[in-house]
Amino acid sequence: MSSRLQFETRAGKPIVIGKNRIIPFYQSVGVNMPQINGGVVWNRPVSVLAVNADGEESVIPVIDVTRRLQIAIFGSGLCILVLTWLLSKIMHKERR
Amino acid sequence: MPNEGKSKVNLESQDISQGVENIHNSIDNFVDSGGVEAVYGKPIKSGDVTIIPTAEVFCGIGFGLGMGMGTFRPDADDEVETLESEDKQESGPPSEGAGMGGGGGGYTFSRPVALVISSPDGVRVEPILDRTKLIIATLTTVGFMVGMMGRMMRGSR
Repeated sequence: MSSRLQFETRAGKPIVIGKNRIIPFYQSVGVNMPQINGGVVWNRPVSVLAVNADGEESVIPVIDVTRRLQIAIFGSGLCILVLTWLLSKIMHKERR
Repeated sequence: MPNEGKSKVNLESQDISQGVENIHNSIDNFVDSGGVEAVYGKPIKSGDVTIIPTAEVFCGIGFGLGMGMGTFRPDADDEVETLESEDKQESGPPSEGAGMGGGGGGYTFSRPVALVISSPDGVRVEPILDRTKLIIATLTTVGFMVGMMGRMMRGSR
């Protein structure tokens, strides 16, 4: 039952726009499952390397705000739930 | 006659290997479709500003193949008993048969993440906020919390 997991960051072809040159980078996670003749691939943008006319290089990260907020909402909900459970336990003990 | 059967089986195994090769090529093409061209879209020009849309891409694929073959021998003992006398005289050499089939499916999902904006001032990245996803996440979390708190309150009584 060996599944092949690939995890790598790749660079795309440079895009020249006017005097700027942009090199895109993306992260690829692939799972190849030969046992079931199939697999999945998940690609997401990571950052872009921007080179301006003067030759100055700057790495600009591509932040997935929606995903971060989703995780924050689920995380805060879970934290509130755990805190409420702990408080109810403490209050239940004090009543006794 | 047995050689004919062997060649038939060889031809069928060749067909299967060719079919598997075609499927592997299709998988490669499918996986490539979720590559950098899909993550970073084609640049869109509007005056001095050029916008490159970026997206998260998820691809899944699976397929299955199956084959079977069999030989029918009319002169076999168990077959002879069931056949009538006329059929016995007409019974010839064993006949062979084989069949194969396969199927597969795939799924691709993409979601916009950000825009890479190139202007004379420089290059910047503007994130895309998917409000629908955030509303769904909030409602799901609130629903789960209300449900769990209700269970906790009932348990404490």
